[in-house]
Amino acid sequence: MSPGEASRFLMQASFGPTVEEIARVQQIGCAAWIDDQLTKPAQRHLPVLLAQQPSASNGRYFNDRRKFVWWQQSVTAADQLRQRVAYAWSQIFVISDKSTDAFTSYTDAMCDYYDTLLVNGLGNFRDLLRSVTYHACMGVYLDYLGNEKSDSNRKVDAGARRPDENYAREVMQLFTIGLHQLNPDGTPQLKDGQLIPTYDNEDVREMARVFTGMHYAGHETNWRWGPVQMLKPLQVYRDYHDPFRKVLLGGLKILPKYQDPAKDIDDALDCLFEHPNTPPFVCRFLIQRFTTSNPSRAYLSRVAQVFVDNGTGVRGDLSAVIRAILLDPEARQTGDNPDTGKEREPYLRLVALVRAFNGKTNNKDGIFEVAYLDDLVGQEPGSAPSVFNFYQPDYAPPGPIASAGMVAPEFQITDAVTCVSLPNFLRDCIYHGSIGRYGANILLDFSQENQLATKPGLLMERLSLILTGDRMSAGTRAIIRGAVEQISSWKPADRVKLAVYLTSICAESAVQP
Amino acid sequence: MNRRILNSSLTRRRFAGQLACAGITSTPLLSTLLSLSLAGRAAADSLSPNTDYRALVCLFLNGGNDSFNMLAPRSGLDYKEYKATRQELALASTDLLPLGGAAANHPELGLHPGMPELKTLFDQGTAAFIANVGSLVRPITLNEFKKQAAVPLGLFSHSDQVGQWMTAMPDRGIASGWGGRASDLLRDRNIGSKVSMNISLAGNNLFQYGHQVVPYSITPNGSIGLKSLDPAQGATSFESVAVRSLLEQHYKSIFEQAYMETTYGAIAAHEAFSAAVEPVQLKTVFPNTPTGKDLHMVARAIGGRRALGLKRQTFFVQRGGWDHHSEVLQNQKQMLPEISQAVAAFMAAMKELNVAEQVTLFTASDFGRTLTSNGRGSDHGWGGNHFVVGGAVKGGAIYGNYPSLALKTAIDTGQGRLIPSMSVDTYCAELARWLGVPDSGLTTVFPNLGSFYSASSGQPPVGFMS
Repeated sequence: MSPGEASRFLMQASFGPTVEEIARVQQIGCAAWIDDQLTKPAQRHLPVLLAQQPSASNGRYFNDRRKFVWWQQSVTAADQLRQRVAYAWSQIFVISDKSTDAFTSYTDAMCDYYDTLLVNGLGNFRDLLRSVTYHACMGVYLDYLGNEKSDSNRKVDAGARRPDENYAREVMQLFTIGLHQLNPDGTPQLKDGQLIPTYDNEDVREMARVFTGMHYAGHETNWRWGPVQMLKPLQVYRDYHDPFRKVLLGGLKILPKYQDPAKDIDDALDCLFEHPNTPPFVCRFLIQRFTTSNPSRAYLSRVAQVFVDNGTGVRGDLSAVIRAILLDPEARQTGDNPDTGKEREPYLRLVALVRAFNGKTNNKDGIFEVAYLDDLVGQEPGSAPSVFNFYQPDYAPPGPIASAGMVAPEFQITDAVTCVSLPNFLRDCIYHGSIGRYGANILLDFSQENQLATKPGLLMERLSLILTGDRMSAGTRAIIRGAVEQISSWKPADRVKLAVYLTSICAESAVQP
Repeated sequence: MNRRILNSSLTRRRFAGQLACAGITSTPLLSTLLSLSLAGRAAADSLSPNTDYRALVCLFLNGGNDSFNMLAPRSGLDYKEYKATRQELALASTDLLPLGGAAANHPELGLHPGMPELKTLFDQGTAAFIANVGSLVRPITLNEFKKQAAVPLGLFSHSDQVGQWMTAMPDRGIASGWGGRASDLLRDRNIGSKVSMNISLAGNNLFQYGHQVVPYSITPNGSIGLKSLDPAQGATSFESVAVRSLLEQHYKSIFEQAYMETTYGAIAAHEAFSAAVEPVQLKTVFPNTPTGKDLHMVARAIGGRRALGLKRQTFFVQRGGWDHHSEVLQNQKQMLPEISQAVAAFMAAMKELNVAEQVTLFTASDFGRTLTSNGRGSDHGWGGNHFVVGGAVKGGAIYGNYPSLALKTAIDTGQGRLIPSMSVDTYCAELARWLGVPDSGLTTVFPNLGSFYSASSGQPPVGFMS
């Protein structure tokens, strides 16, 4: 395998290539690298948070702290694949500090939620779905925490209280089956030329009755006002759970009356897990996060088939799914098709820069203090505008991409603000060793590059390899080299910074083939 | 920023980009747009140069505002029905701010107690409410709804309904919005401007995407330029030349080309925008809230309209966080005042700029919410209430049909999810027409409008704009 191919693989499978890791992938190959990563234990976020001094005297950690922890782990943790996968899941099982104030004081709980995605993200999808459903953060974010059965003392047509529909709707629309019936290759099924809905509003109401009776642990004696227990799984309380028969998805599954409430929930999650839409729906989302915005039908079929059966009869084996996504010929091809690949997530380009040059910080806690870039970059972990994430899987930017029948989710946050702000952040980091409103101190190590300052050809080789997967065109290379050579060779550091900046903003860095 | 950096090739490339965008339409539609556009210019010539400016400001309440608590019955049987349906979500009748002057066919309505500034605008005749608006393919009955005939795609889903408010085409997916299509017809009034007539404070949005005109995104602090083109940021001439060269290259990858074109357009627009708008300072004090800051920036951009060379504009402002499945009362109590105060400041600024009659602000939102309660909040509904504000608004009145809020009526699809009595098309066609879209162009902008309104009738779609 060429160094460029190894670098490109690491763009897909980690938070960014480094020279050392490129050599390692070249040595052992992509499959063995994945196998090795799968043996690495999850480097959780909550312990890193708790190792720091609290933000306030009452022991609380402010919201920015979990972002610092995210940076620390994403840049430095050895379980890069697992970290990258968790980040992908955080964009499907979205919780966010936006649109609710609650999370700004639940910093530890948000770290714990992320740890749930880390620990289960390469396990089985069914376990992941259950652990998310039972996490207090999701209960708060999508409002089913404290959701009660209908008030049977009042007639429904006289305005009786009925269950909250939020989780019922979004767990179907966004987390598992989507809005329309799909073929196994992800294409929509049609009837008389029309899309076929997977559910209607009555199905949402039935599903809403399933997610009743869930509350914080320890609310046996005081359902409404018991203790706030953000770090423990939610419990189901029989007295507040709808006890009656539930017909799910138009009869796909029927839950008998008076069934154990936890079994109701498990059966409903099983129903979604077993639904034929779930493999192509979830796999398309994952492929878009790692390799390409527009997987071919064949590629999506191959991955979805692994979701259906990992080869030993197990459905939902996520290690196998991620492996299939990354090792598929369509992911590994290095051909010249101009329509493959994806825009790299803008936020991840910053992380990749820091990884590429072994970034360190001399902040007192020893961790990167990067937070609140989202107004300008369009995204930040745990801060999506809503449960619909930063962008949607089917976003087609009007213009050539939409007219080619293609989608490009990341282009939903690519506009005149983000396209300019991201290069500015990259430049601040490269030139001034800081990012963002805290002036987060990040020191990049250019010592290897400085030695190449008088050999611009070799410098460009190296930068093209670690920042673009060795894909820099001859034209781009000539432009950057031409600029670098205008700086006196007596100023090697200036040469290197300019070369790194221009490489980090060039089109070949913005897009992953 | 150094003006020297940006040479005439920018304009050439921008033009090429517009042609590329135009290429996404079919040729017949494009020629229709062009001929309509010429017709629009002839109409504009009758206006004097000083008054030939109009802007629409879309304030999108993302998440689905529970607008039957923003505008609610205040007395009599109507209030009793409201209270019986909404139960613990009902506001006290004595808390609702009385709105004088409502038409006889409406119940006596009151405004949410957190919106006294909006009430003042209503009383002064510069604000109006539009009742029970939502996405419709065509007018439908409850029976038709039950048979799923002509129901909007993805009804009750956030993403679909947000999209349909922006496209006004709930029966199909389409990559342009009604604001953008209206702008395509009006763009020749803005010839020569380096900045798009569609400015967004909330990033990309389908509403402002036309076939030729695309949105330009700014922040509440204005536009942003590349530091590597700015000598004040230490940019050297060879750094800037290299950046420009990278942007001007042609890329084979469709993603690379699109990405670099977006950046290219951004730096060209930034120079013109910042030069025109940075000098504009207003005496009007805006609230220090997200909506206040956004509308402050919109007001400053309107202040810079002559320097920008823009005679027709749209602005897109968004406030998220309205998906109140829980704590709807408490959340609205905090959020509706933000809207009311920001809108009042904006109107004051328009007076300061002497353009109050040339700027109209209107609200949009995913959907109304269930009238019934889930115990703490409300769920996704359909029709909802909206307001328009501006000197050209025939204010102090409520337009459309404010429905009975009893359950199981002929428009209740269940749990108080009401079939809209006015389509998004009708509501927005009134606004587009005021902006300058000729009657002959209305069905280009709103392809389904004919199901609700006849442009040849000589009557306005709703009648709230003068």
